[in-house]
This record gives sequence, structure tokens and C-alpha cells, in this order.
Amino acid sequence: MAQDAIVTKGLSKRYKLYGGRSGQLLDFLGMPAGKKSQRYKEFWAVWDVTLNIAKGTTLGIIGRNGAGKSTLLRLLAGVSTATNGELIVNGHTAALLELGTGFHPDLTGHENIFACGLYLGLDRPCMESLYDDIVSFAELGPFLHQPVRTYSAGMHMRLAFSVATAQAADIQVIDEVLGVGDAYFFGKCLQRFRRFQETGGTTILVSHDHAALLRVCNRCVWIEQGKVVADGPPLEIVSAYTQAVYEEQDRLRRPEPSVSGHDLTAAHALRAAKSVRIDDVQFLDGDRRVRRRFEMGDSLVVRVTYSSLVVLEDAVVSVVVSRADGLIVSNAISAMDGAGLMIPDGRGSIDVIFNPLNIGPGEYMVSVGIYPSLDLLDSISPQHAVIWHRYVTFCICAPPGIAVELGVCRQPVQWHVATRG
Amino acid sequence: MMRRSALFRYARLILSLTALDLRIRFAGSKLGLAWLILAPALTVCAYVLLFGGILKVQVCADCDRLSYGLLVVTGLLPWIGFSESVSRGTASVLAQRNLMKSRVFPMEVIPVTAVCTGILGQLAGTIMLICGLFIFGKLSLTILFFPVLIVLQALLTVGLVWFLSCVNIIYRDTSQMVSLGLLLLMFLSPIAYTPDMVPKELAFVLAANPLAFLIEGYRDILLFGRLPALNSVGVFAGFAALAGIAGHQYFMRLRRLLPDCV
Repeated sequence: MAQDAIVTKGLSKRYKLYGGRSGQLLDFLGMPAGKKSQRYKEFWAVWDVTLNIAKGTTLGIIGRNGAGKSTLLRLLAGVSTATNGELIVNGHTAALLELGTGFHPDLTGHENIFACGLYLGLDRPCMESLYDDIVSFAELGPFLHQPVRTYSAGMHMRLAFSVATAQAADIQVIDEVLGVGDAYFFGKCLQRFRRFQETGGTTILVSHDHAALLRVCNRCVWIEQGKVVADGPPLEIVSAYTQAVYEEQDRLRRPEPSVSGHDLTAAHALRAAKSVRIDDVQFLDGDRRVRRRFEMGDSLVVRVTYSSLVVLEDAVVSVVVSRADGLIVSNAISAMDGAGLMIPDGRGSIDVIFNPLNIGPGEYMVSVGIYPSLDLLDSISPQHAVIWHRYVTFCICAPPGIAVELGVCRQPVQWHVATRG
Repeated sequence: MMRRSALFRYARLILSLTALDLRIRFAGSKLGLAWLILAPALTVCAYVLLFGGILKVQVCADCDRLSYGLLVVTGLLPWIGFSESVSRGTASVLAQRNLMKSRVFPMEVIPVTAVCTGILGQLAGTIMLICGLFIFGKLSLTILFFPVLIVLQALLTVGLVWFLSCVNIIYRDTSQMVSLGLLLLMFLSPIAYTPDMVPKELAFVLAANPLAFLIEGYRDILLFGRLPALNSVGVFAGFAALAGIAGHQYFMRLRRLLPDCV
């Protein structure tokens, strides 16, 4: 028990959903409700969570929106009180649940640092000893002595993060706040975070950024409807979770190929496009087995299953791989590769083979378009096509034993060392 | 490191928060802290003008403008202290909802801080008044009773505000009703008049009004150089203590539920 930072036994949290304010008021004033009428409906946001979190663990919590992740964090941070169950916390907890909520817009950054200190329970001498560290980490420059209302969102966030993490704590509880700020500051946050890990600090964090979780966590918990569904090594849990999400997406998916464009001169293309339908897009590995997770350097086959009423003599197929933030990582266009595709009528499939896969680790979306004809010089006017847009995603993980950032693509290079003299 | 008692820590926290409250209130304003004096002073002027100059309220046969002004000042200052504290206090916990939701913080100090800030105006005004009385040689030793009265007033207000701020979280109408209630209470308090001007049939209204007791008490010790009747001070002290304890109990019982309600 001594090496556990947090122990929970059957931790549960009930929210009362009241029909109206007056019922809640009566409950608040301590008036008993009649036997027949319960004034509220029960909602268990967290149900029977039993966890032993050892000291030094970095625990990631994943799950869908509304699964109870944040409620669980708030319970662990001590901000909210559990309805049932037991919670033992060994050590001082710092909570980063909402960044920068304690700031007063009319006070300067300097004044706000001390105001936040009060809310954190730190007295003035203690804040003064942390002050230099906070200021140098936030890098506000001349804005430090300006009212916070003049700050940009990034500056606001930087100051809030610096204040919240300045104090030495044994346990950090972080809710989806690492992803804010620019890349430079994110790097700094990550560095501070790593140092905290190295000094034996325990971290519990909620994030939807699975790549980031895989990079920092050594344990992962998947929560669904307030209950722990799975608990174990991050990669295992994250892939089980993503697989479950994909399966549900597949069940709910209603593929509706869209036809775009109004150009009358391309009426024949429109007609052709209407006669083609993309039925499915699948990801296969080198052995032609369906998969959703790949490793860098693997071979990936994107199989586009179609049905067509006409023969497309000189069709162009494009497969766009894009990141969740919209960045297009690669656009494979059959015409550019010199592949003149003749698509016969009836049902069939087109395989697009990525071998080797040079895209860096992460989660990617794929959209597919079949163009009866495509003018590569024209980037403005809408082109008639059957488009399968961002319905399917796949995941690329880093080769085993590599934790450093590998970037969006792995450009093949040669190395050469020259000596002078 | 020296170990300090929890009470001492709380007192320091409340003082720091009050200072912060003032800084926020006057951030960016030119006159800043001067408003603390200016606002009550202007209100007093308005009162004297309205009741003394226009309505020509006659407190006693041979009263001049100055003594009527002093009467209004001594009535108005506790009123300002009380109403500021109650209206600020009622809204205080709701205003700090983010704090409550994101940090472990002893929320019970928030209403206390609001009362401290609310009373500051009254304190500043009273100190000015005492200085004035001293200069004109009208100050009597009964002024030493002033701390007793102000502590009792604070205790009563804090108890009330602990309760009201809690209820306000669930029932946002509370702050509206409180401001209306305060307006009503103002008319029912002997601010611009004295209790002997009240008809006999309505005397019970003043007797039931704790603010009437306070105003009379302040007038006694500041203007008339006599101590308030000690048995009524005793009753009032008991009442204030009861309010304080009950308010504290109520707040502490509901404190754990509050973060789920905002």
C-alpha cells in the first residue's frame, strides 16, 4: 500500500438530475421528499471504479465523450466528492482541470500570479520563491505587467500552465490541457512533464490525443459509461479502444457517395459519376488481411470496392491520406503515376498499394475519389466525382523501441560523412 | 518550519483575499481606493439634501442642519456596511464557481471575504467621522464600545451570507430577492429618522429589525456619548452568534455538494 499513490475501492459518483430548480432547493434546505415523488433522476457518472495507482505511474484515461473521464479525475483530485466508495490519496495533488479560470481580466499578469497563489493555498513568501520560475517559463515579456484581458489566448494559457505546475506536487491530475499552445510551448510542457515523471511523480491524465498518450503513459484505463472496461499497457488498451470505436463507426456508417459540381459542359462526366458507387474502403496488410493498425515500413493496401453501371474508359482514382487536423499527408492520384485505369461495369475493387509505408506514426483519415475524368491543371472548378469522404481511418505506430518524434513522413535519405584535410 | 494554527491561516487567507478583492474592484479606476470614502460621502450628501433640505424632516425642535447630517451619517454607515456585505456575499460563491470546480479550496472563506470588503466602506467612513468628532471635541469615551458593535454586526452578516450564498447557487432568484429585501429594510431602518418619530403602532417593526438596533447603538456611542442598553446588546449578541453558528453549519454541510450544482 505504501507504494501506491492513489487507491480507490468501488468509487462511484451519482449526479441528481432535477426536473426543476424548486425540487433541488427543497432538497438543499433539507426538506424530506414525499414517499411517492422522488425529486430527481439518478445518473451515475462513475460506477464502481477500483484502481491501485502505484507511485511513479503515468496513467492515461481514455473513453468517449461523456464516459465519465473528467468526473473520475475530479474525484481523484478531491474537487468533487464521491457518493460511494473509498479513495485514498498519498501525497499532495495538483489539479489542472481547467486552465486559467482563476484569472481576473483587469489585473496584470504579475498580480494574477499572486492571486492564483492564494487560490492554490500558497502564501506570499512561497509564491515569491516560485515567481522567477513562473515568469521565465511563461515567457510573457513586456506583457507581464499588462492586464490579462490584453493577452492572446496562447499567452493566457502559458501563464496558467506555468502557475499551475510551478508548485512541487506528488500527484498531477490533468484534464485535456496538454494540447493547447503552439508547438514550441507544447515541447516545453512535455519537457516539464517528463522531468516530473523522472522525479517519481504520479500523473493521471485524460486525453483524446492517443499518440500523445502512447508517448507519455505507462498504463492506460479505458472508461465506458463510468465503468472501467479495460486496464493495462497503453498500446494494448488504446488499440482495443480504437478498434471498438471503428467497429461502431462501421456499424453506424451510411456511405453516401456525393456528386459535386454544376458544370454543364461536363454533363457526361456527371452522368458517369452518378452511375458509379463506392461501396467500401478497407485497409489490408501485405498478406491481404484486413487491419486498422500498421507499423511504419509495412505495406498498406487501400482496397476500394465499387459498383458501376457504365464502363469508365480513362478514370482517375485519388486516395487522400489526411491527419485529424486536416493536413493532407499524401494524395495518390492514379493519373500522376501513369496508371490509366479502365473501370469495367459491374462490381469490382481497386487496390492502391503503399509499399513501404513512409508515413509517420499517428492516426490518419482516408478519403477516396473516382473521377470519370480529371484535369490536373485545374484546381479551382469542382470536378465531377464519386467521393468517399473521411469515413475511414487507420493508425500507424512507431517501430518498437522508438519513442522519439518521427515526423509526418519518413523521407528516404542517404548519409555521408566527409572529412576535411 | 513554524506550525501555525488553522484559524490564523484562515485569517491571513481572508485578509489577502480581501486585499485582492479591493484591487480587482478598483483596478483601472483613477480614484481607486478614494471611492471607499467618496461613495458613502456622496450618499450622505444626497440624504441630507433630500430629507433635511427638501422634505425638511424635524428630528427635534432645536436641531440644526449639522446635527441632522450627523444623524444621517451614523445611520447610513452601518446600513452601507450591511447592505454591501449582504448583496456581495450572496453572489460571492456563485461568482467563484470556476474556483470551486477546478480546485480544492476552502469555499467557506469566500462569503467571509465578501463581508470584509463590504464592511470596509463603513469602517473607512466611521474612521473619518471619528476624526471629525475628535477635532471638534465631541468625541466621548464610549467610542471604545465600537469594536464590539462592529464585530457583532460582522458575525450576524457572515451567518446570513453563508446561508444566502448557498441558496443562491440553486435558486438564482435569491440575489434578486435579496436586493429587493435590502431596499425594503432600508426604509424600515431609522436612517433618516429616529425611532421616536415612529408611531407607537409600528414600533414593533423597529424592535424586530436588527439593523435598527445597530444604528441606534452606533448613534449612542458616537453622537450621544452613552452606552447602549446592555441587556439588548446581550440579546443581539446571542442572536448574532446563533446566526453565525447556524450559517456555518449550513454551509459546511452543503459545501461538498456545491461543486456539483454550479
